[in-house]
Amino acid sequence: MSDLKVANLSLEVGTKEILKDVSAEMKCGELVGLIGPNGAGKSSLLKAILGLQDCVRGEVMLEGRDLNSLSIKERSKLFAYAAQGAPVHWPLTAEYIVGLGRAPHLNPWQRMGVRDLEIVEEALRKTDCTHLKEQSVTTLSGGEKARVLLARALASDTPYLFADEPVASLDPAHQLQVMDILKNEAEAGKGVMVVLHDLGLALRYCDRLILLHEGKTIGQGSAEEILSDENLDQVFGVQAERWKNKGRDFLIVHNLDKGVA
Amino acid sequence: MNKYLRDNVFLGLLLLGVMLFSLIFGRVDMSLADVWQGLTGGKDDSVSIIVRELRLPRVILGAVVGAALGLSGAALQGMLRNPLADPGVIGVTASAAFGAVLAIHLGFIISFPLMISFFAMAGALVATAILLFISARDASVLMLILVGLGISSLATALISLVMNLSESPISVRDMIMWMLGSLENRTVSDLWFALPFIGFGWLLMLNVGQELNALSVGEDTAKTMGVNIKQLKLRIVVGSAISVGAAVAVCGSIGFVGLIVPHMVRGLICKEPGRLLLPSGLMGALLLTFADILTRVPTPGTPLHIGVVMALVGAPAFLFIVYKAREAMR
Repeated sequence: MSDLKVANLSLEVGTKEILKDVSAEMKCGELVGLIGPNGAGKSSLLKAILGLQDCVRGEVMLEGRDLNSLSIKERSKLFAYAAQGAPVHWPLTAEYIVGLGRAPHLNPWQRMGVRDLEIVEEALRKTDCTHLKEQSVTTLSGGEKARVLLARALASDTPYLFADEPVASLDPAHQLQVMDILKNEAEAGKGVMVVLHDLGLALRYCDRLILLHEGKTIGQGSAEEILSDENLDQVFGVQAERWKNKGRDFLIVHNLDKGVA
Repeated sequence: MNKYLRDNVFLGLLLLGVMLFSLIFGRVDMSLADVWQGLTGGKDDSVSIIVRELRLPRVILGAVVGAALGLSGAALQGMLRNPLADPGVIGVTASAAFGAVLAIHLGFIISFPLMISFFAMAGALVATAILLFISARDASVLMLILVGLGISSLATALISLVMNLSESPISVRDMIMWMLGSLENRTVSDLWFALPFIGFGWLLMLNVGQELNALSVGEDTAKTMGVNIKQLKLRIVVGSAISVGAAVAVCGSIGFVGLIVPHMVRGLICKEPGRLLLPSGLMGALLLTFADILTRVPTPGTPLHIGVVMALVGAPAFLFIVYKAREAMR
């Protein structure tokens, strides 16, 4: 029994069909990777699940309930979202932005309490942003900003977390750190879905993968199963070199067999 | 008391002080004691009547209109996430001005002056309806700004048309003078006309603060944080349109208040979009009351109009703020 179930979801933007009969599942305690080439519909699937885009057909069920039956406020207590390249419009401090993550749990006039401040502090610490907290987010680098925005999503402390390419602009050490954070959140019992382009990270960290291609689900299952040579060749047009080190699986993609150096 | 509350109380007290000070100035020389007596005593001498029936409505109206412009400016900047937005951006200012110009053309300035306010308010409401109708399917920030710009241009074109067709040079002069904005000779009936609209506008925008804060990280993320974006936009657009429409209807076009006040508050009090609203209202009231005092500086020829004073003070202030706060503009 899955906690989150997407069934036969179709999505159109204008006349273009972005998602075609997509089905996907996620359990609490699981880190699910959403992979696929550019334009496969990964971000759209996340947005459809989050209710940011209206679907033509299909349904999203959460713990047996249709998500459409939940109000925006109810959803905000269940789902947190770290958007891809999200903007920050005013020169507000990192600490303030992370604090916004507490908004779903406060009424319109309520300020943050001691517990909220602790959660914000904790989210800043986890994402290695504590030293940035007094700085204006508009002065931060792309990678620092991405970590602050992830911290904001963590501060919402919801049972489900969705991150759209959270490692895209990060240096290697912080990429690993962010993947560790997501893994820990999943191990702590959350359902975490993450859009990834780095198939090596997907293989090492994700419990399960969902492979999208041209708006369709090609497959979902264990990383070994989904990252088969056949899938890599057909969907991504690449080959892979694989090896094991200290019991961990490694994978790096190349296109040497195509005769390109 | 925390700093935010203290700052607001200070602004409020300063406002009351400047309003009291403003009561002293006018064609009849008065001392603060005269003003105080006029406000508190039950005497019916000429000084008391001037204070209570001429100067007090004008000062209160100036403060209310300033507050409406400042608060709407802050709300619109937060909603559109654009530091250059002002209440004129959604097209109500120009449309209200067109309503007033039309009323002047029809001769109401002598027969029934309050009709000018009715026409101006109707202009603002029609503009709001058009804005909501066109942007109903796509209420993106860009769409709202572009439709607002289109409505403004249309209203300006219609103002030109009315002026063009007007055969009376006196009417044209009245139209131009009206558009320069003024608090001169405003009475209690103007105040009672504007107050319900402005109050209703404020009521609509009463608890948008936290949602405006959430919007700092973009619409998608704000939505996942429980913000009903459509409803928020509707409340702010309609709320500011109605209150600004009413302000323009009784005072004519007064620019720059809604534009510069939020910047002043960001520099002096706090940068949080939601918490800008209250101090922006107070600061707007303060600024307009102060500008109103300046209009009473004796000048050769026609007395200064408040819209002119605001523009003369506002434009350099705006340039200064832009220069100082480049970071906030990015």
